[in-house]
Amino acid sequence: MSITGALSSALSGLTAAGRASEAVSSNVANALNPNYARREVQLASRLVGDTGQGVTVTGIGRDVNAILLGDSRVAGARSSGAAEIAAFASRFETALGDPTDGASLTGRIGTLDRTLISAQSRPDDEVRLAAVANAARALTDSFGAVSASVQTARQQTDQRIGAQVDTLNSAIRQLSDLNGQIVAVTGNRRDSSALLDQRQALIGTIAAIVPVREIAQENGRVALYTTGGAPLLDGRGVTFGFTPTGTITEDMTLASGALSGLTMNGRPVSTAQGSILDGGSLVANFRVRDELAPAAQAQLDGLARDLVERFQDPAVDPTRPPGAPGLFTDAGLIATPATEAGLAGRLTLNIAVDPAQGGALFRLRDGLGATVPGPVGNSSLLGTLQSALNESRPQASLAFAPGNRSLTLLSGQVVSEAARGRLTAETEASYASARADALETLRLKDGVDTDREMQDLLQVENAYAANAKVIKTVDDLMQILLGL
Amino acid sequence: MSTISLGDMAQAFQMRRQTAALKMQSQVASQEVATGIAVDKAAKLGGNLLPLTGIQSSLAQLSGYADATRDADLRTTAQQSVLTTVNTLAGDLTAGFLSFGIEGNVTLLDAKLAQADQSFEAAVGALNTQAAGQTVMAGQGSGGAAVASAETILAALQTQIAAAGATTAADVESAVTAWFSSPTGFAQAGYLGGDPQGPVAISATEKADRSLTASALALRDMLQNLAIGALMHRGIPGVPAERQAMARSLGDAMLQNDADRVTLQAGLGLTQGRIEQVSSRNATEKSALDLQQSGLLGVDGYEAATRLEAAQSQLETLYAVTARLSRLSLVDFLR
Repeated sequence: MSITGALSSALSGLTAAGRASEAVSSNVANALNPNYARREVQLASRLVGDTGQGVTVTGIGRDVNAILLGDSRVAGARSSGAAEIAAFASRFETALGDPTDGASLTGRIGTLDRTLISAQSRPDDEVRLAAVANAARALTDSFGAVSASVQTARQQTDQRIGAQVDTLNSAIRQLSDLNGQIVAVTGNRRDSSALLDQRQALIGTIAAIVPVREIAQENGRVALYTTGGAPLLDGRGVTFGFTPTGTITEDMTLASGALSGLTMNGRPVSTAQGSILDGGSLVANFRVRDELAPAAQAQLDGLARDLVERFQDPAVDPTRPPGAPGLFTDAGLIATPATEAGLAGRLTLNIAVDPAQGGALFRLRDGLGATVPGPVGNSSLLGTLQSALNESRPQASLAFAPGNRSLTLLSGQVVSEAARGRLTAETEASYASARADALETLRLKDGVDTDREMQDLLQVENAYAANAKVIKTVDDLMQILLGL
Repeated sequence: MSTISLGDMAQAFQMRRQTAALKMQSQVASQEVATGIAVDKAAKLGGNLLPLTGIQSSLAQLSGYADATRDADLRTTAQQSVLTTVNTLAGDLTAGFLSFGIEGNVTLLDAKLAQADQSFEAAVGALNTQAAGQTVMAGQGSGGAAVASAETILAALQTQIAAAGATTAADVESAVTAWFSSPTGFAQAGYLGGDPQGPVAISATEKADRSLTASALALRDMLQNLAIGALMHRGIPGVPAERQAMARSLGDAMLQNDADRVTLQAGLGLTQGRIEQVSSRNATEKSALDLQQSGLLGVDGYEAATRLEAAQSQLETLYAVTARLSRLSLVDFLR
């Protein structure tokens, strides 16, 4: 030990304190950055020869809990997927409407029933016949609106998938570049913490879309696999392919080839539940587009078909020529089992009874095939129409289990199913979100604590002052020597 | 990972989450307190909306049946008053013709015949009564008159009598009867309304009869009797002895017809009573359904208010804690 040794130790202490203060200031500055991992100066005794002399900064540590971070990402992906499903279910339920509201689908069926009863009592009253026509038209509008809402949801989901695939591709590309930069920086023994933060943020972007696990490799490189096992980045990054469709109608499906599937490096990859990409919002969106929305549409079409068939029965209106459409039509034509798909969107009121389209109200009373008004007090057809609306009849549509149901019961079932779907999806989403939030809270607990940084700063201040004091004292000692 | 530090953002994140959750709770509770109805109806019903849609559909039907019973009530009341009017018109004459049969006072008979002429016209007018825009005795032809005018009917009868060359009481009577019962006579030229209307549904299970028209047998006979009186007033038949014979038989026919009309009126009265019954039953059913619906969707006001109170006080506590914690920073003490 010598005076110069003391001077050198004190100097190394000053340097260490300086580096520590730098870490503190960086931490405090990033206190509100959720992707920032707390920096910590790693210190070790400096060796000169084989004896310790002073302190050395061996590196800047990033304080990150990799296991927690991984769990938090997976939980976040699941939560965002469940949220997409719940959003669609809620949207469908809202489109069907609150049953206690007269403007809901079931409410409008009730209104048609009511106006038919009322018109039957005074078939001579044009106002009541007009009320029947209006109620019937409102019902077709309601079907059209719900159907449009389902298809719009599909279309928007399709657009969102397109945007997500773009995000994925660009994030994977950037990640691949970052991996290279990190290797270079680490190789030069420089601090790569900022790049690591950036990489963590990028992986976070990907993890919101597909659930990923990060696997550390040599030289600070990482590989990225989905929890289902699909490699997104392992040395080389994959490229996803997807083409959004401009307008989506009821008959366009993934199976028919009208809608784009997903490709990985040019090869088609399954987007079904349980596939290698499952667990995030990407597959959830595909599920909405290809599974949930078509199922909702099928229920709606089945209900529309039952409505049309009730009035299309030849026994209901003898004046109607065979093969001509009934009170409700498939875009002006007779509805057949083959054209069930998308019927809800094409449902219209027969123009023969619609005064706005050149029809006449008396045909509601006298029959769709009537050319001239009959006796104004004849209520028999109106009575038959009302019974046709309410009778229990078998449903041929594959959307429903076989059985006899009245229209009220059937529509009640459709609405109940939508409500149950929404409740289930919401429970799932709130569970997933609670879990994701809990893990996120845990992760954030490891983040910057300004109080602790201030305490560290006090220590650094003291250490710096003490080292400076040592130098001063050594200086004094040297002055004494020189003054001899 | 050191347990000696707690990230600033963890605290803020949790605060935000709790605040949002509590605000949501208090919003739901306040809405439920205000409306008394569950905000999430599907959740309240456990996802099974069938009871609710069933009630709603029944309520819609009941409001249609309310229209139907109101119409049926209006119509039968109007019909009842038509019958009362014609009863008064015909009943007054019955006594006159019967007493002629006993007393044979010819002067009095002429006065009665003049009255019969007027009563015939009045009865035709009564049968054409309209209520709320429909002719109540015209069946399906409720848009127009139920019976042709008195003059038209009398002219048709006079033609018929002249064609038959009838001069005796029996011949005139049979000619008139023939016209009233022939499908080309009264049914075509006298009764202008349509077929009887079918029964109307006034509840999910019950129908009210609407078959009464001006062509009902009792009413047709009444018109026939009054028409004979009117024809006699116009000098058919001309021979006094025949006239007296005809007046006597007219008295008997009218007495019989009075009884028939009472039966008709009683039948209508029964229908009216049933409509009244069904109408009040429908009203009871409606309130029962309303009650059932609020039972399904209703929220206990006290319970909702308690929840609101709890959520609010928790929110206030959270605000106080947030304010306290945000003031608590080491930085503030490092001066």
